[in-house]
Amino acid sequence: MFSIDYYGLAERLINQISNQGLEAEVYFIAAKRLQISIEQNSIKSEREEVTQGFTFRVAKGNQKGLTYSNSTDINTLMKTVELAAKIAKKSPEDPNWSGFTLPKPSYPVQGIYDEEIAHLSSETILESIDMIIQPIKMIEEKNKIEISTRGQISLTTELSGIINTNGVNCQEKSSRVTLNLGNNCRRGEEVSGGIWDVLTSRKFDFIDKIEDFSQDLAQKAIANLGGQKVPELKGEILLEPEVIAMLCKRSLLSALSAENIHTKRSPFVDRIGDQVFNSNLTLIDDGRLSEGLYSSTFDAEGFPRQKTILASKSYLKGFLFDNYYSNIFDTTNTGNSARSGYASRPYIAATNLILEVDGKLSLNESIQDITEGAIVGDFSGNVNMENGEFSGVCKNSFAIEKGEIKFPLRDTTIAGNFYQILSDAFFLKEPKDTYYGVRTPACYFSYNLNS
Amino acid sequence: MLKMLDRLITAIDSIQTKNDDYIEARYHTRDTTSIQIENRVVKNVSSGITEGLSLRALINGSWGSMTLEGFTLSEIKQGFLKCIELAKNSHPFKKRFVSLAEIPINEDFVKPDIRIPINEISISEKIDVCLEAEKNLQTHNKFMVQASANYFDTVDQKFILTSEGTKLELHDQKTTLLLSGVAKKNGILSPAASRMAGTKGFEIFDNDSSHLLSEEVGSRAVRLTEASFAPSGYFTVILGPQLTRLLAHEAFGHTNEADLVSGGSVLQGKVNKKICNKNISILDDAVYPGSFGWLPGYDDEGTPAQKTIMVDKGILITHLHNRESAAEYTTTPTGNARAFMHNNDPIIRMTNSVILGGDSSLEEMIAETTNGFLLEGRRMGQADYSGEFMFGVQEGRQILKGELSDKYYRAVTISGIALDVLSKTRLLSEQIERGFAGFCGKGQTAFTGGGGPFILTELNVGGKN
Repeated sequence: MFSIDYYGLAERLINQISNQGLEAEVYFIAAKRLQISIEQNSIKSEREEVTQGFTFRVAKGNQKGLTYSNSTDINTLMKTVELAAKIAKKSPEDPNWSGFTLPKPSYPVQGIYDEEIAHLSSETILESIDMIIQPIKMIEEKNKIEISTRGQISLTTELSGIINTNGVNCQEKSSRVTLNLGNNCRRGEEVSGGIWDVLTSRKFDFIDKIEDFSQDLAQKAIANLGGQKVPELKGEILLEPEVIAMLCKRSLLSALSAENIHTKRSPFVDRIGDQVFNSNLTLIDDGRLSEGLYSSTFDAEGFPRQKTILASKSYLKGFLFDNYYSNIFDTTNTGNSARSGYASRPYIAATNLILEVDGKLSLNESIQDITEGAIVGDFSGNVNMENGEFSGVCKNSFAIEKGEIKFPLRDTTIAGNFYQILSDAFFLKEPKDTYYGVRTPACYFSYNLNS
Repeated sequence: MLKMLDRLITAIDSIQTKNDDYIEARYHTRDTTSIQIENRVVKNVSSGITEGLSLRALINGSWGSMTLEGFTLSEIKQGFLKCIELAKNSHPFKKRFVSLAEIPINEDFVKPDIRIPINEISISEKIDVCLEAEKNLQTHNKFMVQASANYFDTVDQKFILTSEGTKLELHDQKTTLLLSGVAKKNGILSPAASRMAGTKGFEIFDNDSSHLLSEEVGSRAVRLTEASFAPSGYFTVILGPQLTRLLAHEAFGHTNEADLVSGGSVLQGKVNKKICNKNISILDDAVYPGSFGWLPGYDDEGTPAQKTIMVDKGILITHLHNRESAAEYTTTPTGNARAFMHNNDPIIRMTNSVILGGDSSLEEMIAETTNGFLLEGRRMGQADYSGEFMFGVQEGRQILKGELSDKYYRAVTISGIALDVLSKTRLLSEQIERGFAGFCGKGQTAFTGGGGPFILTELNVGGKN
């Protein structure tokens, strides 16, 4: 897949450091990507890249330093390691530091790498672009309307690995295909605002869905024309899975991170064992979910991924830990260390979140039950991790009257408390795997702005 | 062995292209230091260098591009040939073909005006400054329960060379410190944050600036522990300069980027037309010294950086362009093609977004307001093609019968349609404040800046009550 032996380089570097009596960790990541951009209903450009980088963390007692480089020259990398050692010696002690991850056996997670991705011809991808453009053209002609599509399709294969002086040594391949598409629709002077959606998978298994995906998105853009401002939302509010997933990512999952428990910014401090959510709700972080978008065999510090129950039938059961915070709390590491690339320090992040609820109604059934309310498909606004409060503007959202979807909402605000919603809302059946890596059904709740 | 610049020149000269074909190389190194301190603990000190080459080829109106992280002459030549192959590959599948507007061909060397270069400062000195700033915030008041300092600096060097003869060596340097704190009083947790940033070296910390920043953050966090949630509704508001910048950038500016205009934004077909109140003029200013959105003389296609008047007295003068969109619109490029890293293609981005001042004062605006709010400090902002925006505001203060009351509001949300809000802007303060910073995301990051006056306008306030 890659012509350079990154693992071999990392091994040579770690041997050099350990000979100097220092503790250290080498992380590497290499990615090969083909990206085709779409703009104004046409292919804009085709781009190929191979990116790579090494991150070094060196510790001397409780002092530590981090450096990185995207070079593969051994001399440059050695200098980068030495700089990490120099930074460690100059850095104040971190009293909470207790060393790098210790080795623990792991076994491979399934379905995160597809060899075919690395060998797919760009012609196959270029041909699939027509499946995006053609449905839009037909819808434009039928509705006598202008739709402008932009986005990209990218195919990525990745190799990442970690070696440390405690004996951790692992590397793993993964792959991902992502189609990111945005449609904007104009009718005369009126603009729809932009509707986005993403298809993503570990393998290119959605080619048969592209046409329907593009068509649905174009229809949604059209449906959003003619928006009306509602001065005050009332009644029952349905949140679509993507909104719940986004609110989870921007508030709940940070609040369940051990870092925010340690700094006492989370409202879940000292709440283990308490009933904090809806009586049906079980929350699971599953870093080993087969084909999961955020699955891997080990985390960003080389600790095995696992399935962690965060809440069971409404009761808070646990938090997300990496090596650093599991040592502070003197508890088990949950394997939730993440990095956003080689220039990133490790931090705690959720993997694949699953909201298990025993919903009874489908989305259509619940719409039919609503006399007055709205269905919210997207949300633009603030979400506060500290208390779960959110406020902003409803996007891709529609008023519901007497069991029917009526008109799109425009310039309409929504505010509430997401943690309260997780406690009070009725969840529906048919959970959806969202592109946020959160599996959840839709939910609805009685909206009262003043509550 | 040939030096990088010579290798690039040799490689470009060796590639056979037809008349309208174009090839371009952008070599980019970035040296970064970052420091994170939280509650007296130095959580992270990191330093890194990235180096890479972005190659592009425009063949028969079709783009192909790639990133290289190996730089022998042979690798560079092979890279160009691959770009040409990619461009030819996708040509039969394209519905729209590209041409480039002409630009002056320059050979130049540009460095920012830096008094204390950041690479002459040791890691220890940088850590000390951050520790002191974080300590000042932590000890600002007994109600502070959490404080953090996030520092980073970047030193960039670029070579931009094209088959047309452009040959540029550009240097840049950015330094920034973000202070965040949480105060707790009567069980209420109240966060606040503020950032200092610029195209500056370590002189950014002159004049006790980090201490003033910690005072600003600490006092706001403590003050807001006693604040309420704002009422919801449509109100008269005075937006502070940081929010005015956000309005210019997020709500107006993005809808004026030519690629998004072509994508159907609300400003399509509006050049030379009145779009808002005649008291509104908006700039994109890439040449303002020391600002975070300053460009080193040229954009990433080699177009000279400039101050662009986007709106003059309510009339839309021009969109923001790269060479491709300028050709499409038969106009001149405005120097807004920017790439954040070596592995990004240049796309149309803003630099410093500025709303020009008027002839009023904050006091006059307050006196004009019967029932409204003075809003200051940004949290986050989002907007769409129609200019519909939503901003999070750190702090609101009630104005009643022309006077500022002592009632404060926290976590205020404001929303509206950019052109409506700019049309309803009645007064603008004469004095403007610049020097704000943003990290704009449009598939890739861009350092942006700007500012503006206080403005008196009307919009939706979405609080909890």
